[in-house]
Amino acid sequence: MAILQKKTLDGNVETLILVILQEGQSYGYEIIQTLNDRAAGVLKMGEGTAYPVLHRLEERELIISRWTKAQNGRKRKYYRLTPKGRRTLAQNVQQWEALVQLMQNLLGSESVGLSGVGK
Amino acid sequence: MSEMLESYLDRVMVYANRSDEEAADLRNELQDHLLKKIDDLQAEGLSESDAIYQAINKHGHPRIIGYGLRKRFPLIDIRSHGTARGVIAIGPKAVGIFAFGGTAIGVFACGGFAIGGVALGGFALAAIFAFCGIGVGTFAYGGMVLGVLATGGFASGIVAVGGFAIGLLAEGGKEFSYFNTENAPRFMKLLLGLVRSKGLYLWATIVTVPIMLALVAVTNVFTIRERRRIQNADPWLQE
Repeated sequence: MAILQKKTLDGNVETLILVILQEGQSYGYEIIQTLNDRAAGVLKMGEGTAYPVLHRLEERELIISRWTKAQNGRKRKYYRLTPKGRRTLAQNVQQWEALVQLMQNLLGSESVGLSGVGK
Repeated sequence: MSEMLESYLDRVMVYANRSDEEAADLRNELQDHLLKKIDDLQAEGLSESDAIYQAINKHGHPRIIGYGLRKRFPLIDIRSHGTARGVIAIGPKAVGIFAFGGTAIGVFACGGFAIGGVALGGFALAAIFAFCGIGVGTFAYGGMVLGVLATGGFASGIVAVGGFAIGLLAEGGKEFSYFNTENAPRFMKLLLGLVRSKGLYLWATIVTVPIMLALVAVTNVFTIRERRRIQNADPWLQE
């Protein structure tokens, strides 16, 4: 499977992070680990590159953060989704579903059609 | 905490250029990430020094992370590398409402290559008002101009006035035009008449050239200061 290029990813990392935070509050390291685990072989993100995205999401009030003490005694910043973030995520998911539908219509069924394209 | 880790975080913070309070918050967050990563790598069997090296390496280049963590669209954004974006952006590549740089894109753009609402530069493109050696725009004035209203030694545009003029309405020593002054649309006649009668071409040049030179000088001063700030913070940052 091909690794997604940066230009394909642009603007979509935010949605990926919102999806992860929809499942519950989390912190930077955990979010990146989850992303890399679930997208193994498709997505390869520099670990630090998620922080600018997290801070942008916070500026847009799609997520909020709070500092708590982790089990090892270190301070840790947790993020969670806001109601505005949930609405934005729902809209983004709808957009993605529409795009996937369009691609399937144009390229054929997922497995047969897509694998034959470009050959 | 290791010196290497401290140094890495210092470098990120130099580029992030945040207030003390914000920087402390950011630094603590990144530090927690890196320490957790180091713990995990050590648990996998790596030595402490190898774990620190790998954690930093996987985290990303400090300049990229630092610039990413800058405030978006601040009032003034100055960068020595990459692209500055903001209300007033000064840098090698500046994008903003007022943008000054080698390549400036904005409502008011000034630089070697400028694209914007009002663009001043050696080469200005796609501007509403362009003043330069070569201008392409709605209103362009210079040695060789192409635009909606173009005037110069070599002019090409909807209204073109020059020694050699090509346009919908062209006036000059040699003319290639769709309209002449008699059958041109009324608004073009008015526009051309206004520009001629008020001597706007000359005054626009007289006024804008010194402004352009001053702005280029200011740009350079700010860019050099930013480079020095970064260099003083950590001499081996100039990759």
